[in-house]
Formats: sequence, C-alpha cells, structure tokens
Amino acid sequence: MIWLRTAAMDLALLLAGFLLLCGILLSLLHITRKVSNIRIRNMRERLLCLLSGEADASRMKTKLYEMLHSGSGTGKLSDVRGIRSKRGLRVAAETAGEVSGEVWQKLAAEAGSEWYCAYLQKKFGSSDPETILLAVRVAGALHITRFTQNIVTQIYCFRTNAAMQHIGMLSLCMLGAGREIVALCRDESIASLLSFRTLGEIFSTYTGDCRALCRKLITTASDLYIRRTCIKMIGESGYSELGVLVVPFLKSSQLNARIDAVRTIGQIQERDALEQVLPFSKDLRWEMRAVVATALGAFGAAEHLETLLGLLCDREWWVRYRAAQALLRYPNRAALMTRVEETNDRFALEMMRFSLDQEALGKGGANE
Amino acid sequence: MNLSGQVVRVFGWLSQFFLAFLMAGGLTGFFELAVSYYRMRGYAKSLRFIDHRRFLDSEHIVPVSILMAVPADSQDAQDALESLLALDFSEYEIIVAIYGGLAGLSKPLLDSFQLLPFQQPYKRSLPTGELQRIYRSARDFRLTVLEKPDGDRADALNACVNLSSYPVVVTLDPDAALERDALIRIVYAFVSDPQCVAVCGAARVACEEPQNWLERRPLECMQRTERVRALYTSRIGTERTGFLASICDSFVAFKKSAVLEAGGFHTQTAGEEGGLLLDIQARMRRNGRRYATVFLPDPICTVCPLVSIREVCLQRRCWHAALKAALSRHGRAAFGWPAKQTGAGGLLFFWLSDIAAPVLETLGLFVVPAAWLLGSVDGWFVLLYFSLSVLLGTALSVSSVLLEENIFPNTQQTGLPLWLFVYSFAENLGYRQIARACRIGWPRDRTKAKGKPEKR
Repeated sequence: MIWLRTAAMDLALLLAGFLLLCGILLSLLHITRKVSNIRIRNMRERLLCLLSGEADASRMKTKLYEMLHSGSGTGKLSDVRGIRSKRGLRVAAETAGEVSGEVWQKLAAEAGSEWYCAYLQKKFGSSDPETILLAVRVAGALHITRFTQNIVTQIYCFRTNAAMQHIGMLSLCMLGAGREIVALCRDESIASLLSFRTLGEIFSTYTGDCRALCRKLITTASDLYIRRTCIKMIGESGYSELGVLVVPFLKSSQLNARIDAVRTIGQIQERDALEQVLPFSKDLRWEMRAVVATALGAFGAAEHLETLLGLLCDREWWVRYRAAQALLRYPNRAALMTRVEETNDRFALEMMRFSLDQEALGKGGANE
Repeated sequence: MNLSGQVVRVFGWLSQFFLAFLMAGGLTGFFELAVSYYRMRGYAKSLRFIDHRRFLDSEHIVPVSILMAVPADSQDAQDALESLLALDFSEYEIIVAIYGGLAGLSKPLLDSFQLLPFQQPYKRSLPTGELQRIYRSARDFRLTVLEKPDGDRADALNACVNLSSYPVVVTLDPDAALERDALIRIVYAFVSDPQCVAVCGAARVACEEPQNWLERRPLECMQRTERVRALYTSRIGTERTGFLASICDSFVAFKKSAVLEAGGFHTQTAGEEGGLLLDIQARMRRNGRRYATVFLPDPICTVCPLVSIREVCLQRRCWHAALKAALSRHGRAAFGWPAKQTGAGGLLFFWLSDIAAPVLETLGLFVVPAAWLLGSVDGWFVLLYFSLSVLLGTALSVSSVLLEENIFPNTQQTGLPLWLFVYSFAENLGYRQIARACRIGWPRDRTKAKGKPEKR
C-alpha cells in the first residue's frame, strides 16, 4: 500500500501549505488593522475586498453614504469606485431603500443622470438574469421612469422566474405604472408564482392612485390571488365606493375569496350586502363563521347581538374568540354580561370574561 | 503463519484501512464544504434581489408565536425574555412555560414583567398535562407565562402551542438569543413559499475576540469553530437531501397547522424539535402532500458557550442520543427501497457520519498506535496518520471559518478569524477527539443527560 502512504503524504503537504497561506493572510490582516498609514490601509482594504465580496459592498456603501451626505453640489455617483458594476447595482438598490427625503432625492437624481442610465440601459440588455434583476430593482427603487417599458419586457421574458415576477411587479408599483400593471395582470402566467402575502406587500408600495388600480384589477386580473389582494386592499384602505365590486365575490366558488369578501364588507360597512353576509354565520366552515363574527361586530354589536351571542356559543374556539372580540363593541357591558350568562354556556362566559380582561390588560388597567 | 503473525498482519491492514478512512472522511468534508460554498453563494445572491426588510413594518407579514420551555430551576429566563421583547418585528407573542418544579415562578420574574394570574380559555389542540396557572404581563401585552409543575419539555412546548394564536411558532431555548432582525428572516421563508412547513437554522456560539494573547478563550473559540465546521461540512449539504439538521443545536420555526397535524412534540432525551420535524416530514410524505423545509444559514441565533469540557461531553452525548432515537424511529426511510421519499439520503448520511464515523475515528486512535507497538507499521506511519488527522481537521475548520467570514463578514470583531484560526489547531489536538469519543454509546443516566449543562 505504498500508493496510500504517498497519497497521504501529498495530502498532508497540500494541507500544510494551505494552512500556512491562510495563517500568513490572516496575520497580515490582523497586524495591519490598527495601522494609520493610508497606503497600508488601502492595501488592507483591497485585500479584504479580494477575500470577501461583502467587504467590497460595505466599502462601496460607505463611500456612497459619504457622497450623499456631502454638501449640495459636491460629490457625484461617478466618484464611488465600482458603482457601475453588479455589486454597485446591489449597493445602489439597498441604499435607496435605506435613505429618505433629500438624501434619497439626491441619489435618485444622480442615478437618473445620463452617465448612470447609459450603464443601466446596457445592463437591461445583459444575458445574465441576476444583473437584469438588479437593474430592475434599481430602476424601481429610484423611480427612474424611463425604464418602465424595459421592466415590462423583462417580466414577459422571464415569466417563469419567481424573482423576476416579484422584483418586476414591485418596481412597476414603485414607479406607479398602473396601466402596465393592469395589462400584465391580464396575462395568467404573470404573478402566478407569487404568494398572496407577497402580492399584498407589492401592491401596498404602489405610488399611483390605489383606488383606480383596485377598480381595474378586481375585474380584469386573471389570477384569483390578485383579485383577492384587491379585495383586501379595498377593506384595509376603506375604499367604500368599491364595495359593489366586492359583493359578487360572496358567491365565489372559492372559500378564501368568500372569506375575504365578508371581511372587507365588514371593514367598509357595505350595508347593501348585509343580508347576504348573515347566512354565512351558519356556514359549515368555522373560518367563515369567525370572519362573520368580526364583520358583524364592525356593523354594530348592538344591532347583531343575537347572532353574535349565537356565535359566542359556537363549538369552535376561534369563532367564540372572534365573537367575544366583536361583542366588546357593545355599549353596555353589564347588560352584555347578563345576556351572556343567560346563554348558560360555560365556554361562552369564559371567553367573554377573557376578552374583557384582555382588553383591560391592553389598556393598562389589568385586574386580577 | 502463527497466530501472532496473523494478528500483526491484521493490525497492519486495519491501520491502512483507518488511514484510508481518514482520507476519505476528510475529502468528503471538503466536498461538502464545496457544496456549501456553492449553495451559500446562491443564497447570498438571492438576498441581493429580495429586500426582506421591506416586510418589517408590513401588515402582510405572518405574525409569530415564540415558544420557550424553561426548567423551573433555570436562571436564564429573565434575560432571554428581555432580549426577545426587544426584537425588531411588528407582530409577535412570547409564550413561556416554566415546567418541572413546584416552587412556582421566581419573584424577580413576577416583578420585572408584572405578571398577573389570568383566566385564559384556550383550545386544547394537543393533549398536555394540566396547567397550574397562566400569567399575562401587565408590562408587555405580548408576554404569556405558563406554570406547569409536572411534565417534561415536550409537554411544556405542547402547552405553549395550545396557547399560541399565530400561524407560525418558533421554539427557542432560554440560553439562545436571536438577532434583532431574526424573525423577519425566518418568517420571510414562509411568506415566499406557501408550501414551507418548517424553517430551521444553526445557532452560533457566542465568542468574544480576546484583547491580547494572554486573555485566552480556548473553549469558547473551539466550540464556535466546531459548530461552524459542522454547519458547513454537514448541515447545509444534507439540506439538499431534504433531511434537516439533528436540531439539538438549532432553532426551528414550524407552521402551526403542521405541528397540530403531526400531534405535537414527543418526549425524548433532547432535540424534541428534530423529532417533530421528522414526524411532519414523514406524515407529509405518507399523505403525498407537497411541502418544503428550509435551512436558514444566517447567523441570527447565538448560544452561550459551555464552561467545561465535561459539560461539552454531557451535551454531545445527550444530542447523540436524541439523534439516535430520531434515526431509529424514522430509520426505515434510510434503507427503504425504492427510496422515493426525500430525506432518505440525509438519514443515510447521518447514520454514516454521525453514528458510524465517530466509532471508527475513535477506534483508529487506538488501533494505529497499537499496530506500531506490534510492529505492523513503522513510526513514520503513525506520525503521518496523526499529522494528517490534525491537518485535515484544522483545514476543514479554517475553511469553514473563512467561508463564514466570506458570506457573513463580522464587522464588529475583525480580529476574530485569526483567533479562530489559531484555536482550530488547538481544537484538533484533543478537543475534537474527545467530543467525537463522547458520541459512542448512550448516556448512562438519562435523567442526568436531560439536565442542561451550566452556561457561561
């Protein structure tokens, strides 16, 4: 077994060499970390950048911040070495998300200059999807509207890429490109890889008229997730005049769409749909009954006391909890407790007491 | 040939085998390291496109319940809770179960969080022992503390699950600390992939950079290096096979619905989370449902180092027993044919790397010198064997430390890599061998092994 011993010997020598090299490198970095000489510091910085891309990105970001916080008129994006690189794109996009106000405007103005836009334009024509993604992200984060059509093209080109769907749609929302978003969402293959929550987050960054966007998307989008996102946005933003567009979803074959519709109808208090919502309090699915309890609470706990008391005695814990939360809006607590006691349901009474205690605890007036 | 001649010859062959095994093990480690590097680069790239911090203040993020089971005699709870309540996340709750003691809650805990007894009805989704009392904090509405004199850690965690209100639950040990933005990183995995049922990650050992050469922190640095090496030469590689880490040294976030379907946590020596994760995976596979598990390599969780080598040994034996139990329960997946299930490769890998390899490595330490004493091999062979053993171990440790530094540079302690480099040598001159040898056999006293070793 001479060959085994020879191989072991060669491996040992190789490893010893590797460790020696690492030792020298780390020692150099350690020794020079407190040296004030600029040349040595620059050498150290270059060595670090060579070892770690993150260190280079960190250096670039520091330079960018220095440039942004320098006095008006001084400092240009071209002063930051490496900003027109893949790593530079990433740093620009990250910084755009971190700064605000005048600093952001300065960065946007610099990124919108011919010098940088020419580079971005070139990157949109790149064959590397990662570079394109970064360029899309920068264009969106810094509101460079001249690239809107480029972004739409890239979304179509990479329609099976989840990251492109995410970043592309996010950028379009940041650019407030409503017409393009509506057109894209008609295509069923677009945004189909995004989760419901991701879509919600994307649309929440829309810088244009959200109301108009919801009105168009809820009727034209091919994907149910997108329509559900619109329903949710209508409820959370209180676009009550769009309630009529939500009502048809109460008859949807999809449970989640029906649930979203009931929740939104409660949030915007669409009274015309109340008659259609009430039967859902006897729905077979507890998720629906729980949402109905919340919606009825929004319409008025006093008005729907009997239904809510019925839901408070539900067999499902979450329905009881939501009903108790809704009943907290009832104006007369003593009368409410009497009615709850009259139900002779121990679990209902327990839940109501818990909700009252929890409310008191939240207000800082906890009672034992 | 007489008997002694045959013995000498057998020892000679065994020595060659152990040298070959050592080289194969080391090269496998480098291969896994290369796989980790490739995967980590991909992961680092993905972070460039998606700005998960966008979700920090978003209402579209999934709220989280943090569950913590704390033994009644533990002193770590207060600090752990303070740190958890300061996390950077919009909506989360903390549910702590104090279990295994009749003394009740300590006065400092009651006072500092202004805990008040609370009548809280809850859904008994999982069977657990009785809760003696539920407390809510008047200081911070998000904190709930359960008093549970009987039962073990699994029972306490199940009670926490019953009281949790949010769709994602994160289990954490009281000695572990999360980074401020840890939850957003964990939860983003669930948001971006609706099929994700569990997210887990490896905790790093907290290790401060020594100020000078006199201030030595050998055990801290060695524990840190050991974990980083285990992460890059084992955990990330096996994630590809669908089998996540043994979870004793990690944090895990579960989709609550998956926890309830799998029947919650089961009593075992340690690593209840690992057992549950395997249960969830087995159930999903049985029912033919699509699911995903994610391993999060980010350094977002740190644990305190142990103070003595004895405690390290105790902990390793405890983890090893947990891994053995988990592998025994789900062992058929490793050898079943046809192995359609994801995870089978990972199970097999753990059988080989964590069960068989420590035995063989430890045996080699005795057999090779014995072979030299018997005259089967010469002194150079023994020297080569031990040198290679140290060099391979050190090179793997150093490469792992450099990989970690490359992907997640430590901007606070820039001198730490050099210290870790130095201690990587020290680690392979005794510590690693002891830690590997501890893995042979079961803990003698299971109740002793269950107790947490003392933390610094």
